[in-house]
Amino acid sequence: MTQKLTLYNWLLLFVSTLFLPGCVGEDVKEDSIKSIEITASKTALLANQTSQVTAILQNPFDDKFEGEVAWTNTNSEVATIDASGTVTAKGEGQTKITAVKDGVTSNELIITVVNSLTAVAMVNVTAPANNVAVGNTLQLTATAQNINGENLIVANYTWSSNNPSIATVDASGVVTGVTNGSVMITATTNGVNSQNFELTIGTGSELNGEFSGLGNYNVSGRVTLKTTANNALEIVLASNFSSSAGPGLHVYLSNSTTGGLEVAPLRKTSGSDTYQVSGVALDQYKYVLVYCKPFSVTFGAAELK
Amino acid sequence: MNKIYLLFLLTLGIAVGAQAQTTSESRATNTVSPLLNDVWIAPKWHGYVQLSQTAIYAQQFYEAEGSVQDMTTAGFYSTELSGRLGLGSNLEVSLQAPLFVRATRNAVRFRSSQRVQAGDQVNTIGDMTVGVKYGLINRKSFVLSGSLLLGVPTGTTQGGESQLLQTGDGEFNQIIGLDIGYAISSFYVTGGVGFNNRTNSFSDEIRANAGIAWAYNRFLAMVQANMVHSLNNGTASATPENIFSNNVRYVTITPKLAFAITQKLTFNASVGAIVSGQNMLKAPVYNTGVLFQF
Repeated sequence: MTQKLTLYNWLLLFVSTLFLPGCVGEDVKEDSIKSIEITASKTALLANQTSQVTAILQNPFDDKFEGEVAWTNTNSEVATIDASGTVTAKGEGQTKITAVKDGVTSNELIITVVNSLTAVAMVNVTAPANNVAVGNTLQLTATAQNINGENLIVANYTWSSNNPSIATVDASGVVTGVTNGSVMITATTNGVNSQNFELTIGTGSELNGEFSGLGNYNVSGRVTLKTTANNALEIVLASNFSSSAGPGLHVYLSNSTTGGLEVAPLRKTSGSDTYQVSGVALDQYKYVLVYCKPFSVTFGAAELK
Repeated sequence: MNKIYLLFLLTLGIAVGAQAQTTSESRATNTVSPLLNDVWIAPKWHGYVQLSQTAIYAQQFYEAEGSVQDMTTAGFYSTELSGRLGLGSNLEVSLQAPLFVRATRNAVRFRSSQRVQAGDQVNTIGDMTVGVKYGLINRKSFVLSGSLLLGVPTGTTQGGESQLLQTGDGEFNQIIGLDIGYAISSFYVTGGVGFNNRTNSFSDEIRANAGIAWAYNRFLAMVQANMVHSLNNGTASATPENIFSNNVRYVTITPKLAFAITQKLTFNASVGAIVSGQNMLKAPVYNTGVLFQF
């Protein structure tokens, strides 16, 4: 009897191991960050006033959410910003705020601090369009306001383009497209700069391609390589992008269908995503690759045209 | 370099074998002896049948360079029927049949966005292995045997909704091996080397194992080291996020305990730890089994 019970116990122990497989579980991971956009409750402040800056993060699936970021501030004598994004005005002038997380930098936000209610606190730039064909012109308009948002009459504005080889802007705010690309235009008066006004010239500066799978791998969808306003490059995978999964997949730029310049690990195998590239000219590479780095295997390639 | 390594292993095996032949100790007969690396040849119409369960739960894998990478949790579970049968004249046949193999990949929930990517699973049979072994020397205290194992690709190479889960590698392989076993009193030393010729553009492999065991009353304790060393001469792609990758290298250390419930029935359990690897999951391998001798 005792032996039989022992036998049953051992058999029960073994049979219990058959239930090890169980259900498919769930892992919890941090979101990858594709882009960050920051906004402020107020961009013009009097000394000691505060403004709340909010960072909205976007993952490769285009989900938007708030999250912790690191703040950068170019002039802490003008204003400070704490970890929660609260800006406190200190002294007259302007400072630029950006948010950074996982190597992704947000747009740049200019905070202006003034000493009087009548001083120019904001310069707003408007235009009938945000793109200009190469060789064409576009009239931009600047408006100065005090801290209460009341329009002010000022003598003149100084206009500037961050890349005159793509577009020029004259003293009256007329932009002329020079070549395909993107530029940032700013207007300045009384020492106060406007926020950056982004303009696309022509079709923008971009190349496009369609992925094809290589070997037994399936990679498909559209990819765009384009110049951003700050003259960096972006690789934009379209929403129809799809790739076979594999170990250590990376995005590469290459002049052949193997190897080349490593851009970043492939964050997801389907859907849209954007990867930043620096130090590379738009026409420097002919292909975007989905490349298995550990085994030097190209899953798919898109020829840029 | 690989040839030097092979020669080293063969030399080691022959040296241990030669030393073992100098003893005339009798092999102890106990009910857990089939666990001893399957080295001794079963007598005619004798052998064993075992039902075992293997589970791997991996959250990391070894890259090609040997560095460790995080991964979405992968599960691999196998219920296997295996057995050996002596045919007489120092000949033995064997079968390993994974009758139910389940491969899973966890769902992923992203913390900030709360987006959930669905998990995946596949349940099929696995790759079968049939084998024949011949005892070149089959004394009670020492055995030297040669074997041929054939791996039949009955598993699935593209399973689940994602078509990315595997319960087999999809190639027909042949392993020729040389095994030795040496028994003195209640202690056992085992070892073996093998060459795995793989098809379908998979790289060939050198395999080696060594173990020591101690039998006491109805218990047996054993520690075994296993090594698989790919020659990296095949062009098939590696898929290290499961256990069926090409260009695999690893070393495992596996403590194992067995208990003889009755004269013919044995329960055993082991946990294998991987100590280094290439293109392989980095996770312990849990195994339990019930073995019936006849």
